Amino acid sequence: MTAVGIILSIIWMAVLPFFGGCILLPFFRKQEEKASVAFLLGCGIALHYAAYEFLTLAGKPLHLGMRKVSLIFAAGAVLLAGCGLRMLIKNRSSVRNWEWKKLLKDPCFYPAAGLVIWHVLAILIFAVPDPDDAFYSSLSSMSYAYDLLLEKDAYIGLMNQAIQKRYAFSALPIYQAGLSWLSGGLHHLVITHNLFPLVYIPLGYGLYTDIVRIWIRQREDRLLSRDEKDDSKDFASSIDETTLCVRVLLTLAVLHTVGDYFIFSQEAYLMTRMWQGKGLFAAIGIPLLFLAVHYAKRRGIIGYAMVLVTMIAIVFMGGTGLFLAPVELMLLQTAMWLMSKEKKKDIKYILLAIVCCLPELVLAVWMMR
Amino acid sequence: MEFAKAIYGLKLDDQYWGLYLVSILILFYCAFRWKSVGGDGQTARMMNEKNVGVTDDRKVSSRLLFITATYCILSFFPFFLGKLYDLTAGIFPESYRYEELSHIWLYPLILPLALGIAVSFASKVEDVQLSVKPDGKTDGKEKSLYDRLLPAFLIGILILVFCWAGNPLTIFRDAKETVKENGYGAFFTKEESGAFDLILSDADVIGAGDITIWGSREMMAKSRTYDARLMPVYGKDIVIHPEKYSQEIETFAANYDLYEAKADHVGSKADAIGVIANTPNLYEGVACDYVVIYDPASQGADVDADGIFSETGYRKVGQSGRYLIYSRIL
Repeated sequence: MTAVGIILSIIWMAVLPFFGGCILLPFFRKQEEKASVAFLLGCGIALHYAAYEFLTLAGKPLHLGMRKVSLIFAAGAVLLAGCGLRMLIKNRSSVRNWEWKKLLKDPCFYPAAGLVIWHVLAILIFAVPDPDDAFYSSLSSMSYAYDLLLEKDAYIGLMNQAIQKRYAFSALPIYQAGLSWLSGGLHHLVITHNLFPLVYIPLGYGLYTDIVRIWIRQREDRLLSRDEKDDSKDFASSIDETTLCVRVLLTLAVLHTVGDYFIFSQEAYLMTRMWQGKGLFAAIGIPLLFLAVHYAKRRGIIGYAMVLVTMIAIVFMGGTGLFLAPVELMLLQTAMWLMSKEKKKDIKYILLAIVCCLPELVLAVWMMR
Repeated sequence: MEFAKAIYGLKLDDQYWGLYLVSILILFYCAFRWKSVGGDGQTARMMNEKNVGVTDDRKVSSRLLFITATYCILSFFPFFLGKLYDLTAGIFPESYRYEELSHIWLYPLILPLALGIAVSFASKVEDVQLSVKPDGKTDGKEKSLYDRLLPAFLIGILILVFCWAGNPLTIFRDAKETVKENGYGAFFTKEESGAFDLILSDADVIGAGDITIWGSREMMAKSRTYDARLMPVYGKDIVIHPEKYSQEIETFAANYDLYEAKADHVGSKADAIGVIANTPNLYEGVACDYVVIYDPASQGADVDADGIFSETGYRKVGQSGRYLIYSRIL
């Protein structure tokens, strides 16, 4: 029964989001850059999170319980995955292939992959509840048992106080309870402490690799543009990005292996605290936001719709992202604008970024009133 | 398994932060010693043909890895603020600067700063390297900034590692202890789950629905996670911010601390157990159905806990390992 629960949970957490993310593939059709599996999975997860967040916030005044919200969410997720699968069949060439031959020839690939696998195994084997479970997982078990949506405070134990405002907008614990319910009652501690790292640690590394790839391309493009702009495309396609990415991946994996020097370190967020909102935001939310903004520029309003979805997904992750994400987005967008050669034309992207911050702004005002 | 746990244990204690520096060392070794990036020199040839001034792939990879390394070092900065706090804690004991300075809110400031400095460093290094001509000849500046910095950097890192991280044997021995103390290996210990099962089965027998329990912090923190029917009388927050809650709840927390000797206590263990047994009777406003205490023998005291609780109107439910369980529902 547990094995069935784990398989079901993985389907809800990874398989359906990946196919859901594939609805973005048509926007990569005519582009030089192809979409990576990690980016598609990240976008699918962001779509799921945003949908669950919306359903939870809308469900509270409508007195929908966790189960009804999860049921509506499940129906939407299956529908989205169906659409995504159709897009994937039509636009298969828009997905970046893994260059296995190059990877297997690279001596750095083996230690890098070994370390990533070790990280996942370490978290799986040595997982244990910590004091933060008194809030997150307790909220999940309350939600599961009493069909509640962010109503009672789990932090103080008794169910006689309303949840604090700063927790009232983050649907992550309810989503974890929903996953538990949709997976036939698999204990939410297994989902949070075992399955979350199993899916999100590789996803995190995938997103970081995507960022490195973008970085490499931009650096080389700039280098070449000094002399021959016209041939830059040919040159960019000839650079062995995969090998470079593997080396940076190895570097990151080494750093993470000994990176638990501090509870706010990158390693702590990616591995030890991955099941918490802060961890998800720092390890997945920030790189995903970066990638969404990068890809958005060439796709205009549709591209920024994905940024908006990511921003709502970040609210889902917790109060930290609610305040930090707008700062990150505006810093990033302003930096891109300052580096742009067409400043007048590109000012519209700053305006679009401000629009993307609106969900955070509205909820922050609501929280502080 | 012990070895595996020891390896994982390296991640558990911040005294091993010196290993972070080891990883930086490995990183720099990779950055400086790996000669080819493309594997076939294709990038170098392409760049030479286009006369952009970079002579081989190594420089491309070095630059990128240099950026990554500098970024990583600077992202380490918040931790140093924590160390700064440790050093000055004796001078300013009431200070909360550690929390203020090291908090996640600093990241939007730290990360762009780190990236900016890293990129500016990399640009400078690139300028020096471009003095090497495309045909491989140099203009007399063969020693790049990399070459000048590398020996000093490596020696510095090694000194820091041995000063702060200790020798490898100490690290592994301590890590094993850390793993042991933290009890890694299972979600709930046998005695915890045994205690929860006893309470739940007792509640089923007497037909109680939701039940409130009072016990050690660790146990209450895990109770709700074990089963939603188990409601701890106070949770994690009360320990951190007792002023936000009622006087009654605060008293519950303080009285349990007396027994576990986490607070200043002049009386005996027997007195402390008496206080615990009487607290729910004095504060009826805080519903408390079950009380769980550590067996006094495990606390190093020879006290008849059963006698004290039965005199105060409790029924003994059972014992699971170190946990003694009493009920107020008769």
